[in-house]
Amino acid sequence: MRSSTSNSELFEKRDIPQKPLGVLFVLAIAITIVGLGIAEWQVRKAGYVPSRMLDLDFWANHRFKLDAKPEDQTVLLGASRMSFGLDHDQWEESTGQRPFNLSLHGASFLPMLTEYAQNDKFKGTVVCSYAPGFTFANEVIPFSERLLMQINKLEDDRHSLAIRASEWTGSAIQGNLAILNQYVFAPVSMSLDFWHSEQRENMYPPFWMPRSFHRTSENSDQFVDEVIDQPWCIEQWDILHKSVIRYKERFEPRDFEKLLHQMKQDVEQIRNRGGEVILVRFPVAIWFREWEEQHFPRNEYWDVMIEETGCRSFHFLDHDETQSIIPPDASHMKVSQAKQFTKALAQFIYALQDGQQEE
Amino acid sequence: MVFNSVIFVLFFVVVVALHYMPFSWRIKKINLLIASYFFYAAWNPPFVILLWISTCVDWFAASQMHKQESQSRRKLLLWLSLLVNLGMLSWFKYGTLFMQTYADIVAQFGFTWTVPDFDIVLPVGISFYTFQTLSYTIDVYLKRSDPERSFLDFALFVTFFPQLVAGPIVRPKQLLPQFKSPKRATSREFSWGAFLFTWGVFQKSVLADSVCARVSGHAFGFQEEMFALDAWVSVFAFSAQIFFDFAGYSLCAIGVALCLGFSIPNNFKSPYAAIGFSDFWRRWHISLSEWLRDYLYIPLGGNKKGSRRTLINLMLTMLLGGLWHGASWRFVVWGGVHGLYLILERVMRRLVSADINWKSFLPRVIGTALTFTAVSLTWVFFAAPTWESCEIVFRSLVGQTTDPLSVMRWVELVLVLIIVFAMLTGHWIMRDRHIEGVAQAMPNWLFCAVWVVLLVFIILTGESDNAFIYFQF
Repeated sequence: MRSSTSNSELFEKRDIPQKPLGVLFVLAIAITIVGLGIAEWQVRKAGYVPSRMLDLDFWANHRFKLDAKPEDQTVLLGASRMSFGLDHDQWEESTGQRPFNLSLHGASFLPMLTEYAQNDKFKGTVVCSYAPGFTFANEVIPFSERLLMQINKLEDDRHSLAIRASEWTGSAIQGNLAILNQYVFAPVSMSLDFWHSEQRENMYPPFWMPRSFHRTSENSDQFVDEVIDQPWCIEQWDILHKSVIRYKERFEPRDFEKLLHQMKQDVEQIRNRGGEVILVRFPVAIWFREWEEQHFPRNEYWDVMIEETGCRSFHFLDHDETQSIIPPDASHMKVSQAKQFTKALAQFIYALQDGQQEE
Repeated sequence: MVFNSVIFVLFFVVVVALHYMPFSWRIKKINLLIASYFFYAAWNPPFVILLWISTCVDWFAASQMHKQESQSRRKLLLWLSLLVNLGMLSWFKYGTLFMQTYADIVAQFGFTWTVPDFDIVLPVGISFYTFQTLSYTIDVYLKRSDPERSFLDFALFVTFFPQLVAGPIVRPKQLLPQFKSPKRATSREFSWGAFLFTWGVFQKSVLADSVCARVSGHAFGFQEEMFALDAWVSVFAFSAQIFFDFAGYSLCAIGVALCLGFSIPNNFKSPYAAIGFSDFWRRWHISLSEWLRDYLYIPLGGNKKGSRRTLINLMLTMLLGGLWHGASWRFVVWGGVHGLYLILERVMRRLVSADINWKSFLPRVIGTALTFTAVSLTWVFFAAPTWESCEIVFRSLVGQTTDPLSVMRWVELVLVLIIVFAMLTGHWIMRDRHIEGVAQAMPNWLFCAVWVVLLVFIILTGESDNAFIYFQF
């Protein structure tokens, strides 16, 4: 059988297999839809919920939504500790306002803060998650670089139909079908996570998000408790974290003094408009905490940052309700922990604010 | 807009619906033209202007060329087309590279020149559509063909969305005649087009992005020494990734066009089953190889000006072909190494006995394995983001390392090897076959089951952040 031409001169009609292709096409589509429908029913029964996918298009579209929010909207900035660790429902219950989460996995909150500060419209409270390995990461590291690139092209994306449309389709499809949660059901990820393999010598594997959580349309993440409690899942997260740390160790952290200077400017700008910046240290445990404390001692970074910027702050170790929280993977909280932490944080922020107002 | 996105599927449903409505052929072509502009503008609307410039300039140049008797005026019009198209390409694609290179050179002589920050954004697929439209004006100049009479048909030829941003680079004679009479796919053609599209998206989303890109991107990007085993697996992972990425896109383009009733030529023909490098280039990115042959190698003199000149022409063609792929001197080196391979192959042909039967098992295995290994090693220049990264990968490949790392888990290593082995076996079997023949020989139930598996994997894998590699070209 001859296929279509690869000859540059003339076009030839493609040969088509002599099969009832129309029937097979309809059958394939029908079987796929029915099969996925049954799978959807089963996973819903098992307690899974729909999940959005974490990508830069999603983040950009989410950022655009902020423009339509009230000017005093509370905004959350940071990396994955923020997206896992701040429970929106609990925050709303405690404060009466639903927060707007702009966190991005692996990113520093600093470029986001600058972008926020430069927009005169925003006058709300900005809650920033401080995770030193990410906050001060060198900007050539892909996790840091991709946020800077995304912020730089926000204006282009605003006019890109493809980017805008990805939000409509994502919200309509991913937002309604639990089976499309790629963090749990993507076939290749599933096979990789289930096929446990021993560690190799001097290992530094690709960054692979273990299939254990779902992401809400509000840009927050929630562990599936039954999965994150499994030893294999903890092991995969451990491998991921250690790879990320190892990668970061190859680069010098960015110039702290310079970052601090920029941060002070941003905080001042927001403050002048009537807004406020609050710094939060989310729970971190075991080896991860040791690593952060060793490389970014509290008295040299966190304390200096608070003192220089004059921001109010919440460090998990300073509060009885939060100091004993141990995230299952050392870095991200489960939903129940996030609720506990969020409640304590909200109480602290608003109680103090009320106190200040009374004064 | 990328093929492996839900928005494309929705867009395509609308295009198909309009295409099969009882409108006149002219209205349908206008629909396709608007859809094509929309497809391109969905990424970054202002860059549609570049398409319009290319279309108008080449339309004008070719039609005036045809009217002119004077050879010098004809040449002037050809230069106009070349300057506009290659000028846009040079500015948007190579502007920063050339300015940086100039700054580096003057720095060698003690001068300082800072490259201005023009913040140039590369328009998607500019290399593809400029080459496609250039072939039209060059053909008219060389009197190989008459200029197109219908501006609508010509505009559609430049802009036809299935192959607009990443090929195949279609020649005027392959596409323009198809616009002359109404096209509609039969139910079999439509379904076969849908199958090719499915198979293409599966290659891109599942095989390239989900597995190979993760491993190769990590290994090439992090720029640290790795164990030789990891380095070899990473190199083979990239070979698989770039094939699945680009061949997947081409298949999608062919499938989408077929659903609308158009025929686009194949762009890949089991390239990793090639025995030798000239065979490889007859199988890899066929439309570019043929373009370079017809519009660069042959005009340079091809093999008609003596053996030394032939080798020079070969090398020049491959160097420029390399540069076409990207704004980095690593791409030029990549092209240059392929040029060397082709030259060596020509020399070897004279030395090695002509009696070898390359179709018999052992010579074929040796020839294929050597070609694949050499091609894979050369991809290092393509995949590595810096010269330093190239050097590290090459040192790692031969074990010249001091503190190497394992850059993948066993499970990833095994998965990549399975995929590479399956790909090579597939190419070996398909070397002289076509996908249509394989589908023909398959029982209907098995064909349907394969289709379902592909669909399920694609849907569950979902969209990814990775655009098609060749979009950047």
